[in-house]
Amino acid sequence: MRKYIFGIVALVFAISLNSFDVQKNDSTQDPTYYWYSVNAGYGGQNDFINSEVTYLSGPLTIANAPTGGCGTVDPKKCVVGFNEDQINLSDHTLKSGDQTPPQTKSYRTTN
Amino acid sequence: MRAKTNNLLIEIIAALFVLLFVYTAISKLVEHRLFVNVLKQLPLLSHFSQLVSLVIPVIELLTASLLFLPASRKSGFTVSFILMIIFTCYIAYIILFESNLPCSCGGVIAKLTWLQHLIFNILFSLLAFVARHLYKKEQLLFAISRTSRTPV
Repeated sequence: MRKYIFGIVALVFAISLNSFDVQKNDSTQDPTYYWYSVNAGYGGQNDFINSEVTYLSGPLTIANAPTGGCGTVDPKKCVVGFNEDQINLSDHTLKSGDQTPPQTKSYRTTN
Repeated sequence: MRAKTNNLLIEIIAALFVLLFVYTAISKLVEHRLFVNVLKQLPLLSHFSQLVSLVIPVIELLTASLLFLPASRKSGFTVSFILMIIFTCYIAYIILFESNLPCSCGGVIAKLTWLQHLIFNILFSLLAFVARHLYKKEQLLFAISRTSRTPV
């Protein structure tokens, strides 16, 4: 039994840490978005149509979203996040009409 | 006395690996959808994201089982060392070529930067190497002490 004691403690600790993580995630659940890189020439505006963006990934929280190699302080939008109800889930295209991304992950210097 | 210290060290290192592998494997399985989505962004793995998202936690749990049982601990350390080297090489590749991507690891480890993660992995690779070396030494000492008790 003594041979297993460290292993058992490690197992219990691992499971406890995980349940702590799950509880924490439940209480402060970050919203997830679908992330798109803004095509060249379209970084300056607030609304986008489908031809102005390219799907990257999702659903991901802003913390886990890709930056697309862009920074965080420059003026033009580089990677933006849309809500599930703003996109067609089957092919990840934006729904018709202008869509305003609720989140911006990264920015770049030029359009 | 020295053998006792070595044994204790081996048990502590095995327990640390059990903790690491079980914790990260469960995190990956609990947040499976998120894990798959992050894997989809990673170069080399994006086409196999579904398969990899299941294979990695299963291998981690199997390795933890090997380390948990004293009889298979030596193989457990070998597999751990190989796994940590593979993970470390992959992280080095990400740092060199794709450093803007998020980490696909489980739990609090996902909060580390790529560089912190690289250092963490190198440390655990070294631990696995040391543990395996200590294990070998222990077995040798045990063999010598058994031989010395054999009547001449």
